[in-house]
Amino acid sequence: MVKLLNDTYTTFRTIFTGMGITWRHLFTKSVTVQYPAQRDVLPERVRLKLDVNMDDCIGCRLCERACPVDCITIGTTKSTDDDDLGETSTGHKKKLWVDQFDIDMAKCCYCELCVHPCPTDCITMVEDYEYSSYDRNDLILSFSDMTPEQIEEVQAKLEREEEEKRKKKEEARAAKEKAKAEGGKDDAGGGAASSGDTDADAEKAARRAEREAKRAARKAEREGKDAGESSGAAGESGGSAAKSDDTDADKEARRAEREAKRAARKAEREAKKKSEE
Amino acid sequence: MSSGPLVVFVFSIIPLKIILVYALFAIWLERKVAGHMQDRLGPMETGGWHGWAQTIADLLKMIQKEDIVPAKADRFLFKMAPFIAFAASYGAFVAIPLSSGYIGSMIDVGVFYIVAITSLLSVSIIMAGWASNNKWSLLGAMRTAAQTVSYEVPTVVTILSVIIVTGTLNLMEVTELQSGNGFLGFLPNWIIFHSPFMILAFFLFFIAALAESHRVPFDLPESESELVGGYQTEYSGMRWGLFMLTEYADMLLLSLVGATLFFGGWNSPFGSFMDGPLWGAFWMLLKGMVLVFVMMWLRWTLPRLRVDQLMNLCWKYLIPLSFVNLVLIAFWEMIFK
Repeated sequence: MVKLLNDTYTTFRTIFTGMGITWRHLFTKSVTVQYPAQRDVLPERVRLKLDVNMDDCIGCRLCERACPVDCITIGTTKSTDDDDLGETSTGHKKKLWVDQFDIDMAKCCYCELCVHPCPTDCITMVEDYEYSSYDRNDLILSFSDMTPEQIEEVQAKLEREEEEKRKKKEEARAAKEKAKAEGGKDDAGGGAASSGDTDADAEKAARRAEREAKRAARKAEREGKDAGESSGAAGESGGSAAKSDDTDADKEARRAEREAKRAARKAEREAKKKSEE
Repeated sequence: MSSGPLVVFVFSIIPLKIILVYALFAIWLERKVAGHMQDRLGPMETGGWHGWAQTIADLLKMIQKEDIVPAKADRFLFKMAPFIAFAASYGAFVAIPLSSGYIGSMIDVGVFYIVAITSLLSVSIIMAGWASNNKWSLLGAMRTAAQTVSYEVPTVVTILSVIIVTGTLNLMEVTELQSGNGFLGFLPNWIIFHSPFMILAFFLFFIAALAESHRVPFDLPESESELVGGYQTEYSGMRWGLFMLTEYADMLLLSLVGATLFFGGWNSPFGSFMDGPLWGAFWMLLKGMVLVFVMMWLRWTLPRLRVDQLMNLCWKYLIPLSFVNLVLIAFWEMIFK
């Protein structure tokens, strides 16, 4: 009987306590943020979306390499000698056309590791978080503003230039070989042979011949040294040789990869062009 | 009111109109109360001002939904159950005096009729649970049966203690007895102020009524967290909507019964001031809504009881207390009248 009354009293007391609490909360200010109309103040240094200032990008690929999830894809083309791409705002010389700078925000893990290596501070995290989309491909942000035509033009230009350079080199080599051969023919009479020409010409020719001979000699020397060294290195330590091989292989692999990528990009672009047509 | 059948029809469905409008309002209110008690805002967008049209939008959505009947369900019982549920709670409104000028039917056994017809509700819930052919539904239905049978006792006993005072089962007469401002010179002549035991009687009645209408903390038949949805699990669309409507109609019904029995029904709390048939309807609905609000308030305050706690509360506390209270009120009546 006493227990019954006691329990009843406790029940009512606790219920009224509880009701008092809920009554107070009925009139406390709600914590809801009416989102599209109101927004929370974001903390400093929030990591919400990547943004790239392409004017400052030098195409160094440090961000691409830093990314732990490989969500950044960068494609570059060397600029030709007659093109001046200008400087970044930090004073770096731009030497590469950045024809592709894609960041897949669907893959991005917001670690910000790409931001810090950037020498020109052109890749940054910005305060935009409303970029959800119905299509996964919409989350791939393309920052490069080069059109496929431009890219093609630049690449064609580079190829032309490379071709020219190669040609020049070959010509130079051919000329050198010729000079060498000639030099071998008339060993000491270089100056005498051209005595029939004007003085200036003769002088020039002589100087050239001298230079070439010198260069040839240097080259021969170097080659001899190289051969000696390499044989010595091979004998010295297998480890270092293996290491250098490794890095060589690495380089080779990377180059191959890059070329493959470029080829893929080119193919893609062509396909796109075709489909557009 | 001697007029054509159309007028009679319009007058006879006044409670239905009230219930429908009230249900739209109460569901919105419940959401707002729930939200604000949890420091949220509740619906804010639909309709502009504080999401007032949210329930209407929900209703429109519900009407468009597919009416799914489980393959192995008892189709007839399954389809009938929501209608019987609503009919049971709507049927009870006939004996409630909504104002001094309106009562569905002046039956002399009004309270008895209400108690009898609301137990149809548990029949319909058992129907729904059994016909769904789903173990959660059946578990919920069985809990309902146990709960309703148990809590009918304290409800009836507390109602009986009011009937001792009034001497009539007709709710219109019960209300008329409470008019005037006699008690202590300023308090209205309501039964709750009749004796200290009446206050306890009201609390007991309110708790039992909460259990009868399956509201939190006695919502074991539904208990969405453990029984998915209890007897409602297999229902969809407007049939589910009817169960929802029944739940809210039931809340209003029991609140109105409570208001009539303890708080003077359609009587104004200021004596003859603001009195009259229309004011009467206003006071009646206001009192009902206050009790409905308290039910919502309790819902967001108390956690749900376990089955054994539910039975424990009923048989060990409510029933003994209500019987003792009945005897004490009877003695009070003998001594002071």
